Amino acid sequence: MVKLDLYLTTPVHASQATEAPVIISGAPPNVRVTVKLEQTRGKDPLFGPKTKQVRTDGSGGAVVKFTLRLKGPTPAAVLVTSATDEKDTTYPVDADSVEVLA
Amino acid sequence: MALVVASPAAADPEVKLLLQRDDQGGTMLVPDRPLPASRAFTVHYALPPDVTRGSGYLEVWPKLEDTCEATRPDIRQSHSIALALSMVDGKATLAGYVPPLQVDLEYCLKLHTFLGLGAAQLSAIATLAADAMRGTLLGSPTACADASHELFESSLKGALIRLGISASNLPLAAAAARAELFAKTGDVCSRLGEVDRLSLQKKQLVDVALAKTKAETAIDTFDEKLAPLPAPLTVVNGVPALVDAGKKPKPPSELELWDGETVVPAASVLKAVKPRTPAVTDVAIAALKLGPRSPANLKLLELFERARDRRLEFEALEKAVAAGETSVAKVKDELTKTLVAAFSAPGVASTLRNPERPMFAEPTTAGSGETPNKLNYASVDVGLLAAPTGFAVWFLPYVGLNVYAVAVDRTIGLNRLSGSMLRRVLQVLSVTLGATLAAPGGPGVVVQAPFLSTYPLVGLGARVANFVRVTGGALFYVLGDADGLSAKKTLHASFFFGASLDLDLVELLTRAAGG
Repeated sequence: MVKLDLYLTTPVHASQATEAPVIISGAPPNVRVTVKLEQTRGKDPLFGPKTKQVRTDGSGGAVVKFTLRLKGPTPAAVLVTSATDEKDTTYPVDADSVEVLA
Repeated sequence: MALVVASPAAADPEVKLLLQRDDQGGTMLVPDRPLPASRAFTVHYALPPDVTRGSGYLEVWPKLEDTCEATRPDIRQSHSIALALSMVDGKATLAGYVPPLQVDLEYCLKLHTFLGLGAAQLSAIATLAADAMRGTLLGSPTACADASHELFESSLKGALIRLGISASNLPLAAAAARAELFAKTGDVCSRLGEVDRLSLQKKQLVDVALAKTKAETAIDTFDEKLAPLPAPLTVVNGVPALVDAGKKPKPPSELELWDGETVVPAASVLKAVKPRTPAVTDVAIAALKLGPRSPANLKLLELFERARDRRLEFEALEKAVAAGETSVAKVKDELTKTLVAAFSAPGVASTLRNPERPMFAEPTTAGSGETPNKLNYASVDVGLLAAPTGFAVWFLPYVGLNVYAVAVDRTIGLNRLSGSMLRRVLQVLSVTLGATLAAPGGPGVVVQAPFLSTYPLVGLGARVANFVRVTGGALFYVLGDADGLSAKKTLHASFFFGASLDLDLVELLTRAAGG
């Protein structure tokens, strides 16, 4: 089953660069996947949307890393990732939330 | 020939990453076997028991510095490998597919895991969070219908603190619990109004009990002189208790009253008014109604009637409160179950995550000289050489044996070779020993094979592309007398340069033979 997993590493400090990996699994092998990441909740200005492309490996997995700087402080910054591949398959979205410290 | 394995095959080796305590009391990853070289393999990391959710990724990069502390995504053969959840022998495992690694190159490994919480942990969290939220909602039942996101989050946070569990992604977990509650809550929130009603009834019960006690105290302290009650008086008149009890009353010498258990003198009842059973009160009221209507008698009658009314009110209210308590207990129980279900929703379980704790593995050398191709120090190929002699330029096919100083990795593309400059040079540079596959000739000369009817050559070759090798060196031949007048033969050597298809013929033939 194709799956997207977005993870934000805590703690996140406002305006400091933080890495958000998106893990793709269960996709067809060797397809180009366009991954989108955007912030839907938190302190303005919100991050994204930004897209990156990646090619899945032989097992249909891939990792895309976004680097972002979130505004804060906010008790909950919510980021949502979505993806489509070159065969126009839409992958189920995933989200992660994190408290952004001052 | 450089081959890239496109997808994992059943025969791909497996490497398990095991957790091991290090000297500093931390944990470190240790592969259960040396990393294979020159071929893809799958990597497995077993999740702790009870954990059935998670994913992760493994970073693999060549160790070019003293330590592996900093990842090097910028260098060749730096991989981020997605690890997906799979079940192996009934155990949850993260598994990923590692592309071929370069033989004899040392690699750093860093594992990032994002694991869900265990079933027991989730259950405990749901119970405690539901408990905390239940208390808040019962304290303010109107808060149920529009319970805030913050309330869910603080309930979760409190439960995690109490359990000493560290988890991330609380806001989304709270949102999932809230959505679940409002999707399945039914009329629990509206029924929480019963809690308010019960509270009001209990307050009323206290008020009525006080009024009842006050009325009874007024009877207890009544000390006005009563007008004598007529005697004898038929006790049964207006006293159903006597009739109900089936007693046959004797004609009393004075007014006697039935207190529900026995016949007692009316005077003692009226004075002491104890035991103040409903029957006694009723009999007293009956007696006073039948007696003379003196002010004291009427006042006592009023006191008894008030006491009776308060008692009846109290009893009715007491029944209502008892029924309300049963109903509220059900509502509370239902609320608890609903809240536990909300906090146990799959959406909560899938969003609550253990914080990431990246783990490093000991730097590991891939292959240790071994590749799937056992003849990785040598290869045989065919090519075409050009040898400019003084009298002609020969173009000859040749076969060559290429001998390397190190085990050669043909799976890794030349543009992806990593490691030190020397290591990369040794991966492409070989000494070539071979012979032409055709006899050269030339105008006015007799060219002969110098050794076993072959024209040997020796050179230095380099793989310059995935499928092409260039070689330069010396081609040996013997020149004889063109006129045949002399038996004089001289050995000559000519510079040559050649290009060959970088086909490892031995490997190809071995594979073709099913070896």
